[in-house]
Amino acid sequence: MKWALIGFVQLWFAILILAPAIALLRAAVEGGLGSFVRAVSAPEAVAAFRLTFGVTAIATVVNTVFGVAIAVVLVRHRFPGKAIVDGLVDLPFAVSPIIAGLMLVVLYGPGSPIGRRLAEWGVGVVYELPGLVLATTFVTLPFVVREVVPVLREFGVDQEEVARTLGAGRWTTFVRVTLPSIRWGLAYGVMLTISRSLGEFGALMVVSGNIIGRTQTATLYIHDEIESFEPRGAYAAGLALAAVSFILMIGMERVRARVEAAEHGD
Amino acid sequence: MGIAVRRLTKRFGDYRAVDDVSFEIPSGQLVALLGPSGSGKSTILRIIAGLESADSGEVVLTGELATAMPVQRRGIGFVFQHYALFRHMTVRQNIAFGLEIQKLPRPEIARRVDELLDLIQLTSMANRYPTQLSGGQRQRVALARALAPRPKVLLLDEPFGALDSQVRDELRSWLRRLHDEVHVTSLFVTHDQQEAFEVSDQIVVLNKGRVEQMGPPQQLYEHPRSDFVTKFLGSVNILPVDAILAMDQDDESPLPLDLPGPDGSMVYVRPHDLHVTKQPGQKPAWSARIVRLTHLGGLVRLDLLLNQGTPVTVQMSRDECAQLGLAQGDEVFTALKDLKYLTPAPGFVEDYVI
Repeated sequence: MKWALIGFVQLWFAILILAPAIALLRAAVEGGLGSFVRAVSAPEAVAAFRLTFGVTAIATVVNTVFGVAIAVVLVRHRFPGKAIVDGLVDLPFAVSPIIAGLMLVVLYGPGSPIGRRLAEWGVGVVYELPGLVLATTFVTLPFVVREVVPVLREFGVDQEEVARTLGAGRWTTFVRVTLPSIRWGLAYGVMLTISRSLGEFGALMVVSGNIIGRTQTATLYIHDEIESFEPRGAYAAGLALAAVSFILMIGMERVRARVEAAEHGD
Repeated sequence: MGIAVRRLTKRFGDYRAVDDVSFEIPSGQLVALLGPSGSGKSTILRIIAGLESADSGEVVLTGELATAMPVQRRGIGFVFQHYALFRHMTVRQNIAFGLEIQKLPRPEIARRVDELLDLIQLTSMANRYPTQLSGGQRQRVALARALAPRPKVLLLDEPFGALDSQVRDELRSWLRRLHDEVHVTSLFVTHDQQEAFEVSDQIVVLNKGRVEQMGPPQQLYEHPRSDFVTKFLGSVNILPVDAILAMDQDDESPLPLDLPGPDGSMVYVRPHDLHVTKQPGQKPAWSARIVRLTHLGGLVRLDLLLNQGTPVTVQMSRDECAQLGLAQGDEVFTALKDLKYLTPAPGFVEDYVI
């Protein structure tokens, strides 16, 4: 019975995840490693990847800082409207990314009052870099918050209080005691934010305008390659994008396993 | 003066957790805040530490008014019941934390940490992480960490509450010895009267957010000023005066007391202040029956039923019990060696020694 269950889970895992991954891997290197390298080093591909990495970096930094701040406020403080804030944090999960993109277009688009005002100052949001960053940040907002909140709650306040009695101010206490204690929850949230930012498509589709070399991200590039009946470029870029996320995730797990073995081993 | 609190009050909603509490602790003493749960003892400790703020009242630490001082400037050491060790730091790093905050030179920190590791006898564990230590070891590290920056006062919140009894006993006497060496003014919270007796120079007994009585342990035990203190500091028989007066005068010798009559007063007798004999002696005594005889190691507990129907508990040494040849069901005589007499008016107590 036990083995049947394990076998079933493994089979299910293989069908659902492993098979598609291998299929993409095979398709991407079918023409040999050289054609793979050529495909990912095409100028449009390089520009698209550079843009994606840049947007991801900004969105991740912003969501890490504000995500921790939101988590601390939600766990440690009571204030009117807390339940609403708590619920709104999940909104980006609840709505489709396309709708998220739509919200931004309606708010900041050229036809909106804010968009017109910003345009007067020479600032473009929609169809420009700020729009991409905004959309990605919006879509990935909940990850850090949702990973950090339970860890922070479990952590409690005892260790922070001890640090205070030992002479540490609030900031020192946060950096030296709180942050190291929530680090794995935070790291996991950051990893998910990065992966999701790299892979975001729907919201960017609406917001970017998909201008090659300017607002075309890696996912939009992959989309165009599929559309243009040149799937080789799509396979290669797709594999590269997936590999980055995967390697980051595995890398983090390995670091964590090593550190935890040092701190909890006998 | 080590620690002084004056007219401290703290409410949680309508509930008065701390109600007009004042006491003073002389420098260098080890004092227990003793009370049942909900008596406000931990809240008082946290207010002294600055982890909680009082609604009104003052906290004075070594002569300095500290009421408005932030926690980190009060110069206190605090030990939590559940240790609260920094889990991502080794024993050495934990102890060094307060010294690093003070930005002391590295060699000095290392020297002080070594000194404390030696004091808590955990030098060999210096590079372990908290999860690799036993409960008793963790609490010793927590204590060393609190003592490292040489605090003006040491505050301990149920420091032994999470340990099993054998470790707790060891750590208690160790804390007492440590305090005799270090001499830092210390205040510790406990609900365990035996712990308070064993460790402290003085005890502050708290009940419902108020100070019931303060003094050296033995003085509190021998001269309790209230019903609560009498009951809280060890088991006691409470006999209504009305019942005693109703004892049959033919069989029972009357108490040699000038009892004021049936007015709802109570007589308090500790189990070890009752004397049991098989034959009626010269002294006045009541006849009773041994309902139950329980061996408690070196002691024996007798549950007696007085003829008139009042149950009392007596405690005596195993040897005395064997000498008297007492057994369950025996008819015996019991006399009072010492008793306290409390009227319903609070705070009034008379001691009688017979």
